[in-house]
Amino acid sequence: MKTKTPVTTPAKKGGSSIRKIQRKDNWQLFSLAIPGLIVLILFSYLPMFGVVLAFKDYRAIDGIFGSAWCGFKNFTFFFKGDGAMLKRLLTNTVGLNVLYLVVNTVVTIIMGMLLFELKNRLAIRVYQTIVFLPFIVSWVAAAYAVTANLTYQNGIINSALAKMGLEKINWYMEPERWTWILMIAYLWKRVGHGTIVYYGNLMSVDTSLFEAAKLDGANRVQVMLNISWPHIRPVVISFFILSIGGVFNSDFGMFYYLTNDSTALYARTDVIDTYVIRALRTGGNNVGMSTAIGLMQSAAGFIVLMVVNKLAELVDEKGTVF
Amino acid sequence: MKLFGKKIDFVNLLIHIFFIALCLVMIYPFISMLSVSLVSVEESQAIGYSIWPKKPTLIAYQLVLENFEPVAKALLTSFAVCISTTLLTVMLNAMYAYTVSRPTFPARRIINFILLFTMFFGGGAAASYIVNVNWLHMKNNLLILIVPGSVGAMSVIIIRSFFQGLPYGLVESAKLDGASEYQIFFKIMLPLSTPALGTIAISAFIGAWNAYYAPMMYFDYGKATTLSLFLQRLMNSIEMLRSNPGFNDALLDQIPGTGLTMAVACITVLPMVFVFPWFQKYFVKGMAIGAVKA
Repeated sequence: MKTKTPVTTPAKKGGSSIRKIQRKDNWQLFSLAIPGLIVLILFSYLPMFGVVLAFKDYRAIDGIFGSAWCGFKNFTFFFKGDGAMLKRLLTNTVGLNVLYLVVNTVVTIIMGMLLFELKNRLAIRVYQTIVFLPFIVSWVAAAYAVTANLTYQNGIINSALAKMGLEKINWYMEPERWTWILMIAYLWKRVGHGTIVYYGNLMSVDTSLFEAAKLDGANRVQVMLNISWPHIRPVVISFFILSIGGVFNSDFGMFYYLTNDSTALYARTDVIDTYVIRALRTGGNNVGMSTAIGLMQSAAGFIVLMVVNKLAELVDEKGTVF
Repeated sequence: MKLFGKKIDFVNLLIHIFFIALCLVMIYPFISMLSVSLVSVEESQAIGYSIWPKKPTLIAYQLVLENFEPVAKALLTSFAVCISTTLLTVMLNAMYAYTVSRPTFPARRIINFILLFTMFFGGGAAASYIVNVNWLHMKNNLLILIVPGSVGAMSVIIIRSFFQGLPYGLVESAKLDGASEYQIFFKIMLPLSTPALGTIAISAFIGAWNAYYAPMMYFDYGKATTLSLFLQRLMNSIEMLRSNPGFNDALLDQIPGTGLTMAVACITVLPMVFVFPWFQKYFVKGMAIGAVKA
């Protein structure tokens, strides 16, 4: 702000002191945001300079800015050869994520609506709590539960199979099954979250709508389709749009820990994120490559987000994010 | 009408049965972890694990307790990290949210943008790692688990919309009485916003408790360990327990490695599972706000 020349008239003097207070208030407000801004600058904005790594041949001794430029080598590397690796990673990442996202959305909508049908408050609370529990458990811990069940020698399922005289299944060697195992795990962890969101949203429907529908002789399914569904549709759509932007980024913990990072399963479980982490951990010149992949993931995700957002306008304008 | 009433009961019953079955499925993984941690060596070798051990034994837990030091250390570290993270997250997000919630504040839009931009663009895992380790020297430093995630767009949005839902007259009348912005924030807004702050606190705590990525990336063997990291490394080997000088090898032969690791896994998971229901209402409220503002 500009410095002000001294004023003489009483009216103006009053105005200036208000302005002074205003200025002091603004400084105080700004100072409240400073700690947050520092954290953002250090941990979100500084790494953004690292984007140049995608175009560099990174060497630890030279640092981010000292390393030599290498053009688009880090990008093209990914597309080299017969592209089998790229194809596998893309199929797994996009295929599985879209499949899981769609199934999860459908299941949570149905469950939210079913829960809304119930009237017993205690039961609703208990169901909500238990269905939501897996959400607070880390994938590392969940991986233990999977191990307990699927270990070949004496896992719970194989032991039960053996007891029934059936052949044991070598779970960690058969990739085909993992599409579905991971889907169950995905739903197990997330279904509660969506259910509670949609249930909470249904609670805000004007109850007179339901009464009117009942008077008009509508049955439950008709009420669901014509009142409940249109009401939650915008929320469903915005959640879906926000999630679809992430289809190129996977839930790393699930794909990495649940599969025990088992090489035999890569054909169906190796996604971009697990590939990148493995590349980073094995060292070598993978920093530039992983940054390049990250950039492509963000760009592709953003494009998908925009396209789906545009498409959503056709379905229900209230659900769009932008 | 009577018949109609009966029909509704029948449908409701079906829905109840569905949800009860679903709840059983949901807790099955927890049960299976617990069961496996209770199975004795002989049983696991003879007939394998089962959900209902014939002769349950607490020997795995006994072993963990006898060599409790590494577990206790990890437990303490985890608690310290979680509590610091929670406090810091609540304070920083609330302060930031208060600034951007005030319509009269001139720099509101730019400060808001600085935050929201991070939702859509980042430097990537490798760049973050290099910056944190080489520039900020955060390797093996517990601050790396606490500070970076403490400001988040979603959290600020939740708290901000809560602040904006409070009557603006509160701010104006406090100002007429000569209150400073600090006083308004700490004495009026914060105490009135406990539901929103509770939401942020509980999710920050759970997030910190479960965090596996940062501990895995930034902590070397032998340095400070959180419970989640401890569990991760235990998965590969039980060498960490074995390296403890007082370790009882004779006992180890009696229990399968899996049983021991399951016991530690249960110790990690079960406290959260039992504590969570009491905090659930905060979580639900926060998600409702998030859903409206998403």
